[in-house]
Amino acid sequence: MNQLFRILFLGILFTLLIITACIREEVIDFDYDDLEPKLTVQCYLCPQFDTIYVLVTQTVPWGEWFDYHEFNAKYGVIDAVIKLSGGNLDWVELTKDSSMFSVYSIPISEIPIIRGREYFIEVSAPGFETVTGSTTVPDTLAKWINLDTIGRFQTRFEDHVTINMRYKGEWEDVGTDFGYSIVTRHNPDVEKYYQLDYAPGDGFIWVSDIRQIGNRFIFFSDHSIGHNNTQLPDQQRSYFYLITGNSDYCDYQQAIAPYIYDGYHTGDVLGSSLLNTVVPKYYTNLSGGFGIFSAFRYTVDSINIIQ
Amino acid sequence: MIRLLSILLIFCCFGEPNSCSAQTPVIVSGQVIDQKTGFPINRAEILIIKQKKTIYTDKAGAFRTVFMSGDYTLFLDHPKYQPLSTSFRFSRDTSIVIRMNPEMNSILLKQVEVKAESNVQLERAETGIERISIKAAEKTLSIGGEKDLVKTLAQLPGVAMVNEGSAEFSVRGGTHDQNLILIEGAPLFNMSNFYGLISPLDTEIMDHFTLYKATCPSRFSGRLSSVGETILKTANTDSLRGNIHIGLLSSGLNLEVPVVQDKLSLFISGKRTFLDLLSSTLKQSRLQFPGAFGQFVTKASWAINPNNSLSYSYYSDLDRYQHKKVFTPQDTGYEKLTTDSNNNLQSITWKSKKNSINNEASISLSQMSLTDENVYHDQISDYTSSSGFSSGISNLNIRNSLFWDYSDKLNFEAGANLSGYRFNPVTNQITEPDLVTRDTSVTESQSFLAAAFLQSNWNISSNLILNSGMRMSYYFGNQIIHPSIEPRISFQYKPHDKLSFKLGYSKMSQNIHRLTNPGLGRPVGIWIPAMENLEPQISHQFSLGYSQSFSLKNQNWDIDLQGYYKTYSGLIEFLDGYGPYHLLYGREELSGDNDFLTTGTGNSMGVEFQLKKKTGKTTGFIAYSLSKTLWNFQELNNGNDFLSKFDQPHTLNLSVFHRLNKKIEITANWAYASGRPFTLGQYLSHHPYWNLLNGEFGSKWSHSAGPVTTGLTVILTSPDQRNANRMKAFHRLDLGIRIPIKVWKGTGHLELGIMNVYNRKNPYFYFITQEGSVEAGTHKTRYVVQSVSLFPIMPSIRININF
Repeated sequence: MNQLFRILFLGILFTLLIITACIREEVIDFDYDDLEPKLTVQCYLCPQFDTIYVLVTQTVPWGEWFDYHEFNAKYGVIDAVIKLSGGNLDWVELTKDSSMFSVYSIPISEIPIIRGREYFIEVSAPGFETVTGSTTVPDTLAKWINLDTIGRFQTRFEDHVTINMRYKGEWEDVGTDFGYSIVTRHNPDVEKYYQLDYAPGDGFIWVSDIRQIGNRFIFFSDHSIGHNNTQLPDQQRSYFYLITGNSDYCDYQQAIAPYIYDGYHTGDVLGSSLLNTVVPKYYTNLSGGFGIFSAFRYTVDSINIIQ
Repeated sequence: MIRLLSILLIFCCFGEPNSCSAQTPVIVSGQVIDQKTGFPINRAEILIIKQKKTIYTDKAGAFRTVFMSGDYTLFLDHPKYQPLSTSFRFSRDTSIVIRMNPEMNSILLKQVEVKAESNVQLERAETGIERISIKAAEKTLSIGGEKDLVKTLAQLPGVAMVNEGSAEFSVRGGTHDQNLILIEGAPLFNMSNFYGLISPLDTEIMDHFTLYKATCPSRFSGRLSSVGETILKTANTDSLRGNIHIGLLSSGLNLEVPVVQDKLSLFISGKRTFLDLLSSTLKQSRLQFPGAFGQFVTKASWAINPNNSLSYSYYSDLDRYQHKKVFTPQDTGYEKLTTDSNNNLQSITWKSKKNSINNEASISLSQMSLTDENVYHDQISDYTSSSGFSSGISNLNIRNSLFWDYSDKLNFEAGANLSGYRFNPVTNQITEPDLVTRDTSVTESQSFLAAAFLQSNWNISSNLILNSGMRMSYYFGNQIIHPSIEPRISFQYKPHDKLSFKLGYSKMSQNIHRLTNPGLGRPVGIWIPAMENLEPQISHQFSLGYSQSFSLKNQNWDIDLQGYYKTYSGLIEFLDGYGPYHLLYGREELSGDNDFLTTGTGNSMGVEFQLKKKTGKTTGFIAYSLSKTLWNFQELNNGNDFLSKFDQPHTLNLSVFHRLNKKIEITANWAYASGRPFTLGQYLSHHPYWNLLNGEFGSKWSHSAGPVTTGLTVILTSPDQRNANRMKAFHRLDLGIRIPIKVWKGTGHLELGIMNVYNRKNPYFYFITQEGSVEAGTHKTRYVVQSVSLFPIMPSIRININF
């Protein structure tokens, strides 16, 4: 009998060891050899730009290694013909931008971007299906009603200080076909932007950081800004860009948002290991290929975060 | 078609069988008792061969039925007794006593010599019925030696495990929320516990289990694909008995307590996993096991008098995952994730009998909850925040059924039930004391169902049986009203006792939906009610079957062949890019007018084959299913048909039981199932960051957070490629041996097994991951799909001690 329980005890220990260490992972390969490469086109229209840029690349086969630095060289398309038109304007052809690989450009003076106007794009390249699409520039623009900081506290250390604060901003919905992004820049010297959140304009809020009350949106955001010495400057401003995008812009932003949040890669969506996620819906308003041809307008306001 | 069926049904239910007047009806009452102790045997199954009819004894061991005068052979069966066949001549009203031999200690021997095991496909007119032998189920090998009925169900043709590490199953291509599992009449909402290793359906707590895959009795409804009826064990009323079981994952105790002899008894069962307790004594944090599962079951049975009995049953389980990460090295705080999943079921049943009418009244309450809490605590700033969600469903059901043996050829069942549901799909809670405490968002709702049903079983002639029923229900709540008429009908033609042909039609409706992960990732489910724009699910199933018992070289064999075609409407799915987390984390609000769910239709078709060797030293079976399930949603896959995520064209199960000698038996199971379809992108694209102030690409003024020199690598999915990929097939070989043992004054058996003998990496789930990154010191990257497998080759040990 003792031997029986000894076997059982050893078995339990063995099982515990196996179960705690037995989660095994392996890469699964898929055969996509018969898929033809397609063009990927990215173009954003904004009346506040001086130049229109179009990036043309080709798709990367699933599972293939690629280098960020060599991406354009390997997958950029440099012999594309890109045409734009809008309203009563004739088709204009973009030229290859000499400073950026596989980017094509045209000054806005040659094809003015007018709010409320529909624009068309056509991209062709040897060996690829022609890509076409259209988009309309937003006629209306949401503006900040209120922008301030709430709930701040400072954490002081020997050689630096951190300002912890919560921002609160408010704007009014301008219509059901639009969505909004808020992009902030806390330090002009760093020149780095953070996309806080995105709210499609159809009445559904995306995360609890943004609430909709009637036709007003209120967003909250927590941020910490560190200074390398304990002496704070007299003034430091944070800039908040409120982007009003058309439905193409919003749908595309929503489609790529999981990659921005990075929850997709880790399977650790918003901090919970209970859930993994689904393959995000990829949105494109182009036919014949992938990518986005969309339009938006933005307004900017700033606040002094040193008090 | 429906009108025609309705007319036929009404005729069948109320038509007078012509042959009833040919002989004299006699009332036969009797009692089945234990040959050794003389105590009555509850729920002994009495098969009246000539009438092709099965009745059961009540708690007093009594039965009563009507025969036409003549010679009859009764076949008696009970899990704890040797099967018995006996013949009688009934010429007038008669009272008889039948004694059954209790089983010998070695249950194994009886299981091998299943000479008298009946073939339910021959006995019952319903198509797609499966009566699970608890004795056989106890022999099915499971990880850790658990006695899990779901593993036995998965061996049946037409039933497939959703994946490894899940106790969910799919019946004939249906989704796993389309299976109604009842424990003493109360619905069970959460099936998968402890990483799917343990299901609530522990065979140790069961008396018997019946699965209806096609034509379901009209007293049941609420799910499209199957109904599983579980009856818990009833304690004996003569002496204290019990069972202790110790396994690698859990241990438990079952007790049969006679409170008042021959009147009142109590069955108590409890078990708990202990890997968390054991690992907590180990210092290595890597070996801390975060999961725990506990189950408690009790059933009180009161035989008030020979004609009345009352029972109360309670089932409860708790599945907990808790992981605490302490900040190092200074122990300055912690982050703790706790996920609890809980089932609570209660039911009271009153059975009474008067003349040829039996009445059964019951009330049941079932609750399921899922909670998730993530607490963050920083000791230095004394800052604590928490976030999480809860989700749940509860159901109150009141039912009354009348069973009327009109004659030996015709009986009826009629009744009604009222049911109320309360849903809490998601309640989000976020607390940040230093800044803002957000409101709790509650999306609770209620819905109600009233239903009446009528069922008849009519032996039209000696070889033709008609089983017909009708269920009428009225669902209301959440801005919709949904009346439903559900006919169920099946014919059985038996040229002789060992050959049967069946034909059946069944309509089912389902007023609740379960939202599950539509793509990759761990399974998670949220129950929601049917509501405006999310109509109830409806299915129509046509099925046929052929069953035959035959002898070959003095051994008994059964062969079954079944086919079906099933249509669905009201299926719901997430739109592309959405999943349960959009609800669980408050990204979307649930309503009928939503932008993330869509409804569609589907169909399943298939054939199922089973060949079973029932006698001899070596017994076993082979079960194979060939099926196809297609869905169609206007808003998915460009409106074209696509494979259901539960489409598994091939499933094959081989089980062999061999008796080495009088004591020892060995078992081998091999299971195969096609992999499940899922959606995956076909291409990748790298999107460099761009400057939102001037539109330039590749600028370090990034539009999005992240390394400014890189950008986003995006998976490109075509909208017409939903579920176009398929996971790896599942297959596994398990071997086991059972040896009788004696421990102190008790007897029992030791079960040893080896699971996944050839160490197959069966997928638990897939996820997409990025290999290589700037952070890893390289600029090369790619996305790959990784398969997560849970179980390598594993031992299985279990000790059962009966006293």
